[in-house]
Amino acid sequence: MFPPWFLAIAVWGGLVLVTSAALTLAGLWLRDLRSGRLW
Amino acid sequence: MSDDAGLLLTPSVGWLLLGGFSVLWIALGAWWGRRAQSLDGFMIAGRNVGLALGTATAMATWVTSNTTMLAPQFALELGVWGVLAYSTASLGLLLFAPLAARIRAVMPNGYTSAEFIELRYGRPAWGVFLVLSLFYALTWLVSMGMAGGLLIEALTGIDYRYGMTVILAVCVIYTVSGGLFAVIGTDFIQSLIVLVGLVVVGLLVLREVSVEEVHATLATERPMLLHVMFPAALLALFNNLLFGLGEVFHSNVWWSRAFAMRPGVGGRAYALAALFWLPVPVVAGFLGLAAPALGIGVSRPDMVAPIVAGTLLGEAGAVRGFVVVVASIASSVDSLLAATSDLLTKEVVQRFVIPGASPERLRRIAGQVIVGTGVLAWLLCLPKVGTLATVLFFAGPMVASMIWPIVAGLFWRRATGTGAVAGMVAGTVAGLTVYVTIGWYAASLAGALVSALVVTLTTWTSTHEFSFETLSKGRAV
Repeated sequence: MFPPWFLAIAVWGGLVLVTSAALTLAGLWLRDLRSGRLW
Repeated sequence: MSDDAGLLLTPSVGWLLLGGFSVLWIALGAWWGRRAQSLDGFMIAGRNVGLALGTATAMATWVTSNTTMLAPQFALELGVWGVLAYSTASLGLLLFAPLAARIRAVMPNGYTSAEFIELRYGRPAWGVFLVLSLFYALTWLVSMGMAGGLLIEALTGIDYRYGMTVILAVCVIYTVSGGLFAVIGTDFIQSLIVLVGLVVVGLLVLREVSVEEVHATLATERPMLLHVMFPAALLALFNNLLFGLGEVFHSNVWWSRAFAMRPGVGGRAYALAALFWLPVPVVAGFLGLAAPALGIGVSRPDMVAPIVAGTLLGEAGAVRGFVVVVASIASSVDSLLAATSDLLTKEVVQRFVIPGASPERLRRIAGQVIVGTGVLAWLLCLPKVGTLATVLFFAGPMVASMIWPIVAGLFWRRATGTGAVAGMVAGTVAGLTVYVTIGWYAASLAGALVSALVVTLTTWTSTHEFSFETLSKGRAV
C-alpha cells in the first residue's frame, strides 16, 4: 500500500510545481513581450 | 449554489458564463486575426512564435478536458497508480522536444505531418497515415465537444445539445477569424486559467481535509486505490504513456506548432511544456482521491473537479471549476479545428480538388474547412454516444502504431515506406483486437509493440538510404 508520506509528497509537490509553472509562464511572456519576441 | 436538484449552478449563471467566454474568445480571435491574413499566418502563425507562447500552447493543448475531467476519474477508479499513469503522458511532450527541433530543421517550409510522411515514405504510407490521422483528430474533437456539452449539462442543467453547440460554435468562430494566431494566443490565457484554477481548488481541498485524512479514508473505504500492485492500473500506466507518445508524435496539432515556432524554440518549448504539464494530472487527480474523505458522493466520476470545487466553495467554487474545465476544452477544440483544417486543405483540397489554388485562395478555403469540420463534429456529437474514455481510447492503438514510423522516418535513413505501412496497419489491427478482447488499458501497448517490431525489423533488413535533404525541398503540388 502506498504510504501517507508518498501521497503528501505527490500532492504538495504537484501544487508547488503547478504554481511554479504559472509563474514561469507569466515571466516568460513578460520577457518575450519586452524584447518583441512574442510572435 | 443552485436550488435545482443536483446542480451546482443555475442555468442562468451557466448562460452568463458561456456568454462571457464567447465574447472574450471571439474578440481575441478577431484581434489576432489581423495577423492571420496570409496562408502562412493563418496556418502556421507566421513561423516565428517565441518561447512563452510556444510553451503555453503545447501545455494548454495537452491539458485537454481529458486531464481536468479524466485524471480525477482515473484516481477514483484506478487509485494512486491511475494518477501517476496519467502523468506519464507528459513524456509525449518531452520526447517530442528533440523531434520538434528536428522537424523545424529538416522541413523549414513544412505545413503538415502528412506532408512529411509522403516525402519520407511515399504515397501508400501517406494514404494510411492520413486516414488514421484524420480519424483520430475527429475522434478527439468529438470527445471534446461531448465533454463540453456533458459538463455544462451536469453543472448548470443547460441542455447537452445547447452547451455542446455553443462550445463548438465559439471555437469555430475565433479559429476561423484568427487561425493559428488566435489558437496560440487564447491557449496562453487558457493555460494560466487552468493552472491558477487548479492551485486554488487544490488548496481549498487541503484546507478542509489533510492528505493524511484522505489516505486514512481511502485505506478504510477503498483500499484498492492505494495498492502498489493494481494490475489494471499498472497496465493503464504503460497504455497511457504510449497513447501520449503516439498522439503527440503523429498529430498535426503538434507538428503545426513545431513548424510555427521560430528556429531554436521548438525543442525548449516542448520540454518546458512537459515539465509544466507533469503535475497537472496529479493535482486534478487528488481532487478525485479526496472526494471520499470530504464526504462528497460522486455520481459522475468525470465531473469530480467541479463537483468538489462547488461543494467546498458554493457557487464561487463551482464557477471556478466550470471555468477551468471549459478553458481546457476550448484549448483543445480550437487546436484540433486548426490542425484538421490544415490537413484537409493541404492534403486533400490542394492535392485533388483545386491543385492550382493560390495561397490567398487556400487561406479562404482553410477557413471554410474549419467551419465544415466544426459542423461534422457537431453532427457526430449530437447522438451523445459512449463515455469520454471509451470514445478516445478506441483511437489509442491507432496512434500508438504511428510512433515508430515517425521516429524511424525522422532519424533512420534505412527506414522504408513498406515498413511504415506494415507497422501502422499491423499495429492498428493488433491494438484493436486487444481493445475488443482484453480492454482499452492494454490496446495502445499492443499496437505500439507490434508496430515497433515491424518497423525495426524492416529497417534492419533494408538497404535503402534516404536523403534527408529532400525533405527541405518540399513536394511538387
